[in-house]
Formats: sequence, structure tokens, C-alpha cells
Amino acid sequence: MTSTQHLSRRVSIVGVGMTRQGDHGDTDGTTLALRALRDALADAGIDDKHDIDGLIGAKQYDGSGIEPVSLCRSLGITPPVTAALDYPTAAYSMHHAAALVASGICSLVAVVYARNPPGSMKDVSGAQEYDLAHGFFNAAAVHGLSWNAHMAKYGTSTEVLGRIAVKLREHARLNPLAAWTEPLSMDDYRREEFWVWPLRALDVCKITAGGVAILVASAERARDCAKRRVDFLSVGRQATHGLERGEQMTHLSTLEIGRQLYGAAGIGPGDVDLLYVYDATTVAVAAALENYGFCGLGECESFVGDGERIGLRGSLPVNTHGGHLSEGYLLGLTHHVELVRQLRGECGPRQVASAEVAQYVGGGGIRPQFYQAATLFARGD
Amino acid sequence: MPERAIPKNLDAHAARYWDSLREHRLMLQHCSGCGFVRFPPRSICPECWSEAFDWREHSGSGRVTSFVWYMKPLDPRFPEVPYNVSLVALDGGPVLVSNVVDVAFGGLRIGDRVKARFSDEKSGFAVLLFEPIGIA
Repeated sequence: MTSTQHLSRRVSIVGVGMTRQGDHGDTDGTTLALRALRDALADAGIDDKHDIDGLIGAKQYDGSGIEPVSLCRSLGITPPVTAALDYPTAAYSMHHAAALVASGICSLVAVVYARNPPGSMKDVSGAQEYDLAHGFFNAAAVHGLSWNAHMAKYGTSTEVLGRIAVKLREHARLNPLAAWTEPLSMDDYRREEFWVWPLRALDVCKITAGGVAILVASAERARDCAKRRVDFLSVGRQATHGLERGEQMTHLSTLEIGRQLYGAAGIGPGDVDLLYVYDATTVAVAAALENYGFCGLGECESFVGDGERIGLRGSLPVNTHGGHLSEGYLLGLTHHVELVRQLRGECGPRQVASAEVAQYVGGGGIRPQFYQAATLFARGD
Repeated sequence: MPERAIPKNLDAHAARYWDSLREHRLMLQHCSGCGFVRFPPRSICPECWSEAFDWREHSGSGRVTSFVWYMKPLDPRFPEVPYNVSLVALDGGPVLVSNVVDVAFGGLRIGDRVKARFSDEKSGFAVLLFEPIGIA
């Protein structure tokens, strides 16, 4: 069923802030969160932290993350609305913020996430457990099941995954906030041992320390802010059945989301200038290219080709900051910082020329089949 | 795979399923309202809302629809690699997460026919595994 989820530029991102991603020593997550939020308020030109009337945090499966009331106390504010979604990924947090603003419940919502976990830059993310009677754990295995089915159905290979990993690393090398900036070649990728076959460690994102904050406001409130607005155009999201139904093994989501997203905005994938994918693995990027119609089903490998098409001067630049795989892993929120900065034209050596529409595709982990959500954003005034 | 963990806090439906594995039988819940095979077993049919059902034994035969191979000991509870996690579509029934045993890395293909093997665990439970029965 298609519902109308058209935000029609009524809600905007007005400020973004983030720390460097990677190693932060003993600095705790609250400190990283508050540094990012301070930077986001300054970015928006908002002097009074008490203007924040909604604060959304996020929790991981293990319960860690940003508890919003606690963060408000550290910040010295008492906003009417606080919320923390369980492993929401940026898609759900940002949709929640937009809904609070669109409904008039809030006028300025801060979406904040930060952490400094043990094993930063070493341990892989996605540590959830699906079925311990059979040794089935980690999101990489879910993505690997999907990719194996894709290879069998369409004759694709892991080469396209390598092209994605290499291209995202190239982007990160132009990003001073990225955690991984050493050069990476296809030969490096091919030499890497398999980790959860058909995926290698380079296909799977690792955890990082860092903080990020995004300010969401009504378009009216946005007029008082310092920088160019970035507007919400539309959202799409859909729950799916579990693996037991045997559906959509090659998709990692449902094709319905794209129909919602583009139908509500009145545009198509050809109108998207920048694509941001919650890249828990390289498979998520490959899947997004097909699921949203940037190429046909089964065609991601020929679409990506040698990788230039998804590069900064390609027809569809993807994860221009390096994504989770090379910039750092904060639940997709730093993807939003990047798309805002790209749409404003603030990205220096990695700036994509004349970008006006950006799409975010977010995973959401409810076991074992993933469901997804997506958002379209456009450069505002 | 020495430390297979059985789900905790089983409800009556799940307990019946795990009890059947201990008897080396694969019992599935068939909806009396519409015939849908409910897996995992449930009180109410997700297709037709019926609360009535009966348990029927399944042959244990099926087909591999996808698999991955864990190549590194990523978790101390599962130190013996490589091992696969496979999706098996039971004949006429649901898709299950399991392991196909008696097959080496590189020897498993999507579409392979498999049949159930029941593995008795030290915990007193039995786990449903699969073994190859021929090439598709």
C-alpha cells in the first residue's frame, strides 16, 4: 500500500556538526555528542541552546548509545520532547524529527549520536545475534546471504563490491574527518582473505568513535538560520516479512520504498544527484543501486563498472565522504552531515558540481531480514 | 560447533517444535483455517487470523536457497571454521536457517537438495541440521 509521505519542503535541516571519526582516546560519548551539537548550533547561527525543543538520541542493540534525558542534563536544557529509538539508524531518527516538526509538536529538533566504544577502528560493527543454535550472527552474514543469492541469480561477482570499497576509500582520502585514509586498490581488495564468504573484512564496516548532531526545523524557522537550508522532499519506508517466507533474498529491502519515495516527490532516480547509503557492507550499496532503479535488477556490476560512475565526477556520486566503510560508523547520521555540506557547496576538494537533490538510503536492523527507509532531500534557499 | 545455544523462554508453540526435534521428528504447524504453514510456530495465523492448527510431520527434505561460510573464528563460541549458515527451503514449507553438514567449503551450491539430520546436544536439546542428498 502506498501512502502519501510528502514533506514538500515544509521541514529542513538547518545545522550540522560532527567530530573527526576514529580514535578519541578516553573522551566519553557525551563529550563527543556535546561537541558535535555545539558545532551544529553554531553552523545554524542559533545562539541559545534552549531553542532546542526536541532531542532524539539512539541506542544500539547492547543498550549503549545516547540516552536523551541524560544528554539534556549534561547540556543543561529541559526540552518538551525527548526520544531514543532502538537501533533506529539515521533514517528513522530523521523521519521522527521531521514528523515532530511537520506536526507542529516541535520547532527545532536535535538528532544526536556519539560513542567511544572499545575496539574503535578494529572491531566490526553489526554484532547482533540471529540464531545461536546455528552460529548465525553479525549483519555481514545477512548481507552475505543476500549477495550469494544475487551472484547465483544474476551471475554477478565480488568484483563490484571491491569497486565500491575502493571508491569509497578514495572519497575518504579527501575528507579530513575520515578514520581510514590509507590508499586502497583492487589488488589490495582481492588479496584480502574471506571473512564471512562471500564477504571480506573490507566489505564490512568497523566501529569508530565520534559524535554527530543534526538540527531539524520548520522551513519558517529555517529562514532565521545562518546557512542555506536543506529541505526534506519525501520519505519512504516499509516493514518486511522474515526470512522464513523466502522473499526478496537479493534485495535487502522492498522495492515498494522507492515507489513511495519518488511518487511522493514527483521525481525519479534519474533526478538524484547524490546517493548516500547506510553501508554496513558494500552489498548495501550494490542493493540500493538496484532497489531504487538507478540500474535494473541484477545490473549493479555493469552499472558500477570501474567505479568512476559512483565517484565524485560520475553521474551518481555515492557516499562522497567515504561512508561507514571508510569515514566512520555513526548510524548513518554523518551521511546526512555530508549531504547537507554537499548541497550547500562546502566540501572543498571533494565537492560535487551543481548538486541539488540527494537521496539517503538507511538500513534498519530488525532481525533477521532487514527493512529499510529512504529520504529525499533538496537544496533550499 | 560446540556451544549451540537454544532459544530461551520458549512459549508453548516453540516448545512443541523443539520437543519434536528431540524425538528426531520435524513437526510443523499447519493452519486449520487456510493451510498456511506457520513458522516460527504461532498462536494466530498471520494469513487468516485463525487460532486453530494441527501439527504435521515434515519429511525434512528441502533445497538450499543461499548460504555463507564463516571463514574466521569471529566469536569464541564458534571457534571451528569454516562452517556454513544456510537457508533451506523445505519442500512445501517455510525457509529455515540451519547448517549443511558433511560438505566442505566450496562444495555447496544454491539449489542443492538436502535432508534433515538431527543432532543431539549435550544440553539435552536436539538441533535441526541438513545434509546433502544429491546435486540439483
